[in-house]
Amino acid sequence: MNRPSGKMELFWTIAVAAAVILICAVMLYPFLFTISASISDPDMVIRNQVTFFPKGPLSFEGYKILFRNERIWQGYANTIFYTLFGTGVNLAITILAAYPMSRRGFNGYRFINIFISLTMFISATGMMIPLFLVVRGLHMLDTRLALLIVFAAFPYYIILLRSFFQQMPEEMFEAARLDGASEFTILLKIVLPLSGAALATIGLYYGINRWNGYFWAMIFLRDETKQPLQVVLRELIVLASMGEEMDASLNRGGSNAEVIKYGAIVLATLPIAVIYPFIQKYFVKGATLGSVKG
Amino acid sequence: MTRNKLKKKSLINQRELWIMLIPVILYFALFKYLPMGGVIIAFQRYSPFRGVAGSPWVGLEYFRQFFSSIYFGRVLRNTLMIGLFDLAFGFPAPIILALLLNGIQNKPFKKATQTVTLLPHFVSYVVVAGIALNMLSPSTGVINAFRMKLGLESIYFMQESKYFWGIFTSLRIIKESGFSAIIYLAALTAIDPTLYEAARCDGASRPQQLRHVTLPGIIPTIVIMFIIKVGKIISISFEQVLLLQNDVILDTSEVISTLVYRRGLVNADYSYATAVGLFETFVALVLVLSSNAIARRMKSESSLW
Repeated sequence: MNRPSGKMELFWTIAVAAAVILICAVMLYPFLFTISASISDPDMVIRNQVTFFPKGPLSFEGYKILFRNERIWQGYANTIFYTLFGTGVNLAITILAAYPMSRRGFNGYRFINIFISLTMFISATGMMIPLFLVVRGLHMLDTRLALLIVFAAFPYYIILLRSFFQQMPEEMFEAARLDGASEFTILLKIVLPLSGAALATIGLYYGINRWNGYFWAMIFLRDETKQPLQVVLRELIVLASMGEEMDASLNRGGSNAEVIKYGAIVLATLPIAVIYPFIQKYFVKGATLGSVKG
Repeated sequence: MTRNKLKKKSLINQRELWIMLIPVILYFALFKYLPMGGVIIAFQRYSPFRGVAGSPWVGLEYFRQFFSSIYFGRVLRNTLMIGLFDLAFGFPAPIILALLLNGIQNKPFKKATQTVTLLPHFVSYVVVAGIALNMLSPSTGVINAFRMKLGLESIYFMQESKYFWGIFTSLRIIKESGFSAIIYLAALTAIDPTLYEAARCDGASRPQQLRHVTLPGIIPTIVIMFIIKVGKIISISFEQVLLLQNDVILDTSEVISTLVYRRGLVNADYSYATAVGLFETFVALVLVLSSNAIARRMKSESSLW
């Protein structure tokens, strides 16, 4: 047989590149459009004149109104609070579960393993109503605490971290124990300092979840001053798009209503878009962690 | 032997480990196992004032009510159809994306494109739904603006039932393909590069290399992912459906989980909603367990080669 001709090679290289560029364009376009619309002349946006780049004189009218809006700032502050402390709670519980499970010879391994893994098989839909009733029964509705501790750990990440801990050399633990270190000391002084990358990966997954979550915040928190940004955002952009009542304080925008929506989307996504390139490698690592171990 | 065991035992402090587990056990007991027990209200006419202990038992009444209502057929069909759409289009999408990304030889370009395709995964459902609803709007939506420029009439996408499954699936593909592609990319890098060299020496063109080297290399991964996906066919992303649906298009957009939300959390029909949820849990469990069993068996068989 002949070697493949250089012409065909070139054709396929170009075809693949073209397809990938097209896919990237489709994925990036909504973001480009949203940013463009948020800084376009509000009248141009309403008259549907914006397609790719900002139209008309650059206008920051939408952002000005958003910056003056207290609910947006309150939502922002709440989201930062839930993300920081929520992720802290997530990591604490995940570590406290993973470490004992990773210790060879721990007599409760079988019990805890089943106790935690079983909950993975129960569908979220089935638990929706009973979980709500439990939280209400504990008088935790409308408290920030509910959001922090009701979703304190995901079994999958506990198992990931346990596998990571298990790969550490056993002699290290034995030496520390012989030196009289308690399990707490080993965890704090030896295991955790060596687990930076794993904790960063798992913490970022939890953190993104906290930042993006809206459903349970919407169910648990009626008090507007406690709601995170995503709940405010949902009212502002999703419900408003469906013709339902928009938050009165923002509706005064009149012809600015559209640019306000786009501005709010940009504000809510900006923090993630900014840190994302730096943390991307941790996510890729995390997504393949489970599969490698089988 | 026994001495060795004794020595091992003394090197681990069981009590301290159990103390660490106290908050963990409390958490799972309170927010996982207590709600699991709470599903018994599906068999009661539960009233919040009487509590679980004081509410009267009604047996399977709420299940009968659900199965004989028009909602049963509707939500089952919608749930399955959205799941099937996701399987038919959402499953191959990340495979194709991974193959394309893998076909790029230029390293920086490859990295840049992976960054772009992964980005939508980290954007919240609320933002995705918000952007989509705006772009699909009949008055200010950019998609209808394009249509009008082409001389077509504008369509009110979110008010017509027939578009919902397609819109939902498209959004899922755009949002999740990049992330799902990671696992296939990992499988692709595991293919022995000498196989490609050998194929090239034999004169294999790019499509032939794809067919005879690349695809056989990732088929085991594809099969396992497919089985897992089938197991999750009815566990569709509830939060995303809820954000996109509205009262006008409920006939195609109401799925089991949104019905549970509407009846339970909006209308406070706790027992009925719990019964519907329990039905979903049961079906989902059967599907997941059987698909897991099949996947495990295939995995152990493929590792024999």
